Amino acid sequence: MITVKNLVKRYGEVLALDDFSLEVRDKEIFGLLGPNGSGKTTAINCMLALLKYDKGEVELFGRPMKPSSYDSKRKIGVVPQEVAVFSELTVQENIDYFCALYVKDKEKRRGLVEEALSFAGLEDYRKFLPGKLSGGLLRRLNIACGIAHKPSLIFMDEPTAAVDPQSRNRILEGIRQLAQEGATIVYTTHYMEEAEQICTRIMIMDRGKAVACGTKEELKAMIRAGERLTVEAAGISHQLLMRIQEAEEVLDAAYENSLLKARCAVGSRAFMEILDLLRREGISVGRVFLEPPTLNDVFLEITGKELRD
Amino acid sequence: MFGIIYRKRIRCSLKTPSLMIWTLVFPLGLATLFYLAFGDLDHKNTSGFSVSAAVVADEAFEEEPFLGEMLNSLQEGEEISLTAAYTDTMQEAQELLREGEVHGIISLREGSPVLTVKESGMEQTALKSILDQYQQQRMLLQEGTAGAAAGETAGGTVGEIAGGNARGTWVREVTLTEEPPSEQVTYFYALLAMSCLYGGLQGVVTVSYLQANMSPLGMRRSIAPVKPFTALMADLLGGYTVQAAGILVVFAYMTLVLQVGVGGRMLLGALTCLVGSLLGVLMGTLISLPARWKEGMKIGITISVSMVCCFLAGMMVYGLNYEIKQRAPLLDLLNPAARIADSFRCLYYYSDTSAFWGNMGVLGVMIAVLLGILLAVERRRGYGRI
Repeated sequence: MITVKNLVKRYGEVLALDDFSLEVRDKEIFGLLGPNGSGKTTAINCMLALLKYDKGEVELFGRPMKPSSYDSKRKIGVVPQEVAVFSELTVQENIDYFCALYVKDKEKRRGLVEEALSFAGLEDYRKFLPGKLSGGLLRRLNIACGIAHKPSLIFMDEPTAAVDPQSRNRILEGIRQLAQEGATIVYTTHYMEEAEQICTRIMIMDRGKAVACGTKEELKAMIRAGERLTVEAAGISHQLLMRIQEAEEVLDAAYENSLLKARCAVGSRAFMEILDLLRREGISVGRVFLEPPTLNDVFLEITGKELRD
Repeated sequence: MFGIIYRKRIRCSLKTPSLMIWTLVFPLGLATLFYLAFGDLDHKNTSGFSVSAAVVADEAFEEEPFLGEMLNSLQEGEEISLTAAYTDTMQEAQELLREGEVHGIISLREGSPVLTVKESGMEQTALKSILDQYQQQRMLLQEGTAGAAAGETAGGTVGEIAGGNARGTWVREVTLTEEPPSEQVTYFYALLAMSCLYGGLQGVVTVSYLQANMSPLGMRRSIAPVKPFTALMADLLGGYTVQAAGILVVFAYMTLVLQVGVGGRMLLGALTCLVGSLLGVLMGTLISLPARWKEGMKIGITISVSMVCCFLAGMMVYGLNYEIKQRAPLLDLLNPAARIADSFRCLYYYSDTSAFWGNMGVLGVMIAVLLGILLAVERRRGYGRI
């Protein structure tokens, strides 16, 4: 569906995309994950022929993507990061306007607009001006305008930015539904939970480069870190913490506010040893949490920094 | 595709307060204000206006008899009535001025009349205007009657003619239509020109809807399978339709309600509005094309350019347009506001429409050039340039 090869994009001295390559398969939800400024939006803009790149190739639907690739554009839907609607037109008029840029037939369009309204849960707001909608509803309108013409490839650039949890869940549910209906979705976000929740495959980007790509299981398997142990325990001395940190297969450990947090290597039993050690030292242990590794752990290990840095 | 972009653009423009303010509310308000301020301008300055002056009747004055003749002839002037108090010396005249007995002192220095006042006002301006007119007519008639006895002309002496002019009996400004000469129309015509050029704001909006880097809407539209040329033309035409409708309302208000004349040629006046507005929209579009400028900056430049053009066309200072025409004819020719205002002026003053069509021709060339540049730039535009 999408093939990007060795893309290079510079903004003056800044290298925004550094030999960036990507392959998106048919009918998958492909997540582009990375912190702000990692090059996600630049990559999408290059794929959409909005931005001229210095080197590389972009193919959509098996054809090179250019500003004049109208046949390809007809099959693409875009949900931009910022809400892109006319503040002077009502919800229904906005959806109709953007749908009309793709679908000429008025009758067909009427049906598509109704479907989009229902998909976004905006039936009751059809006569509202965008200025009268809440942030969440506005985001849903933004999505409805991008998908009303039933595109087979949808680019969604952080569609859940700054929305309440209820609207976010509804949006994510909608994205899953679009994928089930056969659309291929490229989804950019810096919320790893979202990516984990809905994406078939995920690419992690940092400083314009693709640093890792695969399913979430494949990504987690790439790193040494396994479970994260969190123990409620009072009175752990500095010496004891040092002994924990030095233990075999403990990758790192920290103690703060009566909480001991340790990351252990994949498949190790190190957390049992830590609990034994605490008991032997007479430390009373409260609740114990054992969490599987997250994409943030993946990101942290690969790039050496937190995803939201 | 074209139809829906065009229709929605009209709808959006009509519902955008800032556009409607600049297109309609502001010109209507300013026209009303002009009417209240200048409505009686053509009569106020000239009907039964009385001034008094101390005239220093020294030797120099005796050597310039025509000035005395003119001052005498103005004592019973219909439009300006001058009361002259003759004094032998400047000191006596200054005494009268100090005591407020007269509005100014008229004396002669090296053969030229000099006016001395202690404050500014309508009366002082009238006195200055009398002396300016005298000097002007004197030079004109002396040049025009070379060979004749100095100061003697076929119509009478310089003083009589200059005085007669001030009374409105010897030399009169006339129009070639049935409309009376009018100062106030200049302001209204310049205002119409300004309203036309404010169509540039529609051009700015058009470009912001098209360039991906200008607005999220521009980005979304750049991704759609619509040829940029089609989108540009549909949007431009939509914006122009609203601008044209607005300017016609302003024109109708000025001519039908405020009774600002256009020589009875309403259709040609409306044509001027439509042509001027098209030029305004295209100017704004071209000003907005540099992709890296922010929208606010583009709006600022468009309004500034319009205001400067209108200033040079005499909207703020009466007579400046004539000065520019004399001193910098090329600047005047290339000033779209001057050409628009002059088109109205031609309709008002001349029964012959050749000067009007000349202006239309210049405006037409300007439109063709701007359109040509726009199309050339648009053809080269490929990527959205975010």
